Amino acid sequence: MPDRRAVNDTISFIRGLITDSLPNIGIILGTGLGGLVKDIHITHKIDYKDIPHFPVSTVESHHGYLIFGTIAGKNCVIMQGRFHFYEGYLHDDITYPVQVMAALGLKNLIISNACGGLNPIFHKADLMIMRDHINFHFTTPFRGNGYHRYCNRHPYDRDLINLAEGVALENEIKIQKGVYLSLHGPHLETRAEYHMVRKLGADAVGMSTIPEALQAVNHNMKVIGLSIITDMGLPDILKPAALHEILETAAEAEPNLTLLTEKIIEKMIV
Amino acid sequence: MTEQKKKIFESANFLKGKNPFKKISPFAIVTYYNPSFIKAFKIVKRVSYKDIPPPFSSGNEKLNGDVLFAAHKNKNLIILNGHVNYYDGYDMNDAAHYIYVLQALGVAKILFIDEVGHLNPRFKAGSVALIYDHINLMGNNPLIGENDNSIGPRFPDMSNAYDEKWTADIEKFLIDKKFRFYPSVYIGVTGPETETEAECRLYREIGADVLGYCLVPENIAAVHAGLSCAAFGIISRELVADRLVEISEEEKLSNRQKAEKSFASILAELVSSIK
Repeated sequence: MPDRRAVNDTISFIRGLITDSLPNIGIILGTGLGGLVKDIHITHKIDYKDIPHFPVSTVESHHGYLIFGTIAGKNCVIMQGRFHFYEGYLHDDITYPVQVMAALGLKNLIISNACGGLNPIFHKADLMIMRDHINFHFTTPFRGNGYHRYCNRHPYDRDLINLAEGVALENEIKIQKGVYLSLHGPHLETRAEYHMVRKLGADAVGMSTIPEALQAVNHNMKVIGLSIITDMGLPDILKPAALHEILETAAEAEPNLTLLTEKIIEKMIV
Repeated sequence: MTEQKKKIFESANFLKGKNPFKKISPFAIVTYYNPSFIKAFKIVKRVSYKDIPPPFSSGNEKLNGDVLFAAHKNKNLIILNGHVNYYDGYDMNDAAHYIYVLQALGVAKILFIDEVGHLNPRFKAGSVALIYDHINLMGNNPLIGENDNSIGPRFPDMSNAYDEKWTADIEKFLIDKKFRFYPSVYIGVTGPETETEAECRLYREIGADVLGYCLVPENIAAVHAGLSCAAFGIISRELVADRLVEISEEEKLSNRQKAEKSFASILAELVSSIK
């Protein structure tokens, strides 16, 4: 576990920079929510590599900045660029930023991701609210670390889910709800694997989000997970997925996800 | 050049120096250690894994197996005789290493042969499975970590992990030869302990027909490196939940040998038919 002193180092570095009021909402930007950055009134943008003890992202399509600013008049901290298990990070590293957020006193976390749809009623470019998850990483952020209070019955906050559904309805955004299953990646799944994870109860399959959500819940944060369905993993009619198509679909869904996120933040009680 | 690539080149250059043929074959077989069907080929040169530099981080001393430069009729081929087993404590990267070495040597097609148990009640121990797809339930894979883009893409597509066209050709070949085979989905688990009855039931429920310990990491590495793959399972034991019985090592071996014996002539002919 990143020891307490490391987190304290990071916190005092951040507190040294941010003199105005601290944020209360954290956002982890996944593939397809990058555009949200344009709508932030940015007060500080810090490169991950300048932050003491912060891991550094290796994926090309992800930048690594911690951004402080306001969205819809609310103070937020945004992770632009995240850490994935398939990059070789341990769950400790992946969830380090969440521990820092918790230490900063944040109470709410919005996590977004791009994932493959398994539920045949879903379509490419649909948005999905994560109702629940299945961890297939064969490890957790708490392995060997003890835990504070973790209860995994409802990692995703019921009030935030209701709020998000209401917001989607009001703004006429089509929304799905489903169970997200995370595998290691980085390779995509075989037909037999899509078949298996669907049978196990998943509506969507991805490679991220679960470690951060677990850590946030452990720190008493309210979590909401928002997914973009970037391709369909229907085993019987599976075609090779191209990375550029996945990114194109993410871009197609981005305006809706950005709007949804902003409206959720606007209505969030913090 | 990444550390990984340097290691691959070091091994590949060493093997190039040992190659007895004018040209290195674009075709390779990867099999478990010393099956009787490799006797169908003429072994021209044998290089033990232990002697191939650089050693794995977990050590090569106990590594069992060798690289065989073999000939059959007018064809030559490379055989990796022996898997690098995850259950022996080797990393997935170690199992992947030899696959990347094959690619660096110019191999474009790999036929994998793994020893398996059958979960599907209609199958028979002592026979041969043709593998169409796999499920990775090993809790790990060889691509986790930094990616070397010169080896393969960050997010490889697995929708054609076992080349559809090549597998269809093999299927046609086997049917023409009236050779009985079992079409299968393979599930990869770590082993080495045998499976409980509840596990066998679970693996069957989630869609697997046969089970093994070695194929998955090798196949993932091969797909990552852009190689065309096909795979056979040599069925040495029955793992059907509702009638699960303990079987002895001797019985397993005799089942395996029975399958190997019927498979040997077919394999040799299959190899000579590969374009």
